[in-house]
Amino acid sequence: MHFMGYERPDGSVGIRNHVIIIPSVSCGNEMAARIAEQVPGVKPIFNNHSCSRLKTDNDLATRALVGLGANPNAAAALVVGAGCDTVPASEVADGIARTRKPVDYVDIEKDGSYGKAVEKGVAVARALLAQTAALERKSCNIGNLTLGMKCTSSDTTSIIACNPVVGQATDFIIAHGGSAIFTETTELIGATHILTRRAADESVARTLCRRVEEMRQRIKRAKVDILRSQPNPGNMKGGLSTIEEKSLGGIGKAGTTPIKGVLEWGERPRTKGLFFMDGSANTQIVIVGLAAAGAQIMSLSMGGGVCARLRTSTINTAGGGLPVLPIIKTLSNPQSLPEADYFDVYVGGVVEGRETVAEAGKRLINEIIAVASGKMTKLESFTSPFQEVWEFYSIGPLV
Amino acid sequence: MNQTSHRKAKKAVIMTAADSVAIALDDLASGDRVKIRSLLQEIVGELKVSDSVPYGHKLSVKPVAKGAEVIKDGEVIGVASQPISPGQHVHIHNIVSLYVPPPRTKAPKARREP
Repeated sequence: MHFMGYERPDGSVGIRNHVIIIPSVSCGNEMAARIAEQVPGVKPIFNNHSCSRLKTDNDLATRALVGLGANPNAAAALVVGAGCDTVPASEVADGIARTRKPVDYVDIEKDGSYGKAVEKGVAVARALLAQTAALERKSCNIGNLTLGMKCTSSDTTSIIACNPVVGQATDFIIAHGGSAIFTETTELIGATHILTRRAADESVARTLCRRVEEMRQRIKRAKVDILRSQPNPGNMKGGLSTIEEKSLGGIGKAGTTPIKGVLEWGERPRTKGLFFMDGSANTQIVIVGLAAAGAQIMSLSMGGGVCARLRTSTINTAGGGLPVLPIIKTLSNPQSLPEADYFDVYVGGVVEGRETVAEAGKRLINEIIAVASGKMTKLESFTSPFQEVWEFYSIGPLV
Repeated sequence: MNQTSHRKAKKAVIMTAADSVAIALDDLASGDRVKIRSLLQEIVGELKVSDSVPYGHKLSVKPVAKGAEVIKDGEVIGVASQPISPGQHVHIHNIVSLYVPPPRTKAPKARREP
């Protein structure tokens, strides 16, 4: 099975062909915006990484920044920095250059002044656009895709409809030689027994448990123990009675294949198949982590509720979210039908018994192939005056 | 016309045949008749509801002894903390997690009568 994608020099395949501007630190956001303003078509990815962080978090940010540039949906990248940054622009550019895609960087120290850095950035961005604009889509195997997954605003319909429907797509992509990644370590506290049964081997199961316990201990250090806080009052009001039941609903999206490994936040899988990525359940952080890990397409499955009524929920941003990771949104709850137009795929029919999970799964797979071949997602087609500043996962304190 | 028999049958869905619970797809009241269907849209049973069960909550489709496993989607989601009979609401009042102690719920403060 095939889709029409962009072949990259490192053998990966993109479903978008963006020239992106990556500030290596939040001080570079304004410069990136200034350059983007003068070069229509380039996509800045603003972020919140700043000074006053510990090495562990600088390392996480570096991997994320390199990963965003290395993502196959970026045809080329321009990195911008000040020159004094905790994550130097040159280091990010060097990391991206290993993919052999066009990349360059500007910083105030190297280029002499703010004005000169912006001026050079504009020239570089124009050149990168010109260099990559002529690339054409070619027929590529589905096995080149890595699907990122998250569920949100989960309710009782999620386990019946949207998550098993996404699970069908996950199994389909993996059956064709591709990969899929799910994450949200916090959601597994108290529920590792459900997931470890899916682990490909003993070592994967052990790593998974260790990651979950580390997360729990971090939370405990903040003087909160969330072991006994799940399911939360909203979940219980919706009918979920135990953590097992809640976790069971969430895992549905990961399909039925074994978990091949546990990734660090933003880490690229080394083999194909299903992976779990350590990290926060915060949607923005999940999106950045998945994109940095090389996912070219993402599924966001939503139960319903107020979140469904936010048109761009839960990714408020101009032009549809993180440019390097188009998101296909699936809606489950028939009570949210008035909002179905904000979503790419509506699967409430499964809840109402008008459609089977397999039938809805086929529709989602077709949508994934269409979006991978260039169809704009609902989020991509919305314009908004707001630009998201992307958040990076951090584990240390701000100092 | 008979006053009790023309109550419209309400709906619930059962994920797998092994499950001890179905999920209410209507707000159910005690005395309601509920049609249980599978994910393949077949009607697999019908029973009389003995509690009120809100939309999305679980109702028992088979007897579960105290301490026995409660199955949903083919998986154990907890054990019964008291005997459960078909048609009953299944929730935190009668099932508990096997792994995590029940959530801390704030006990209502004793009210002083005026």
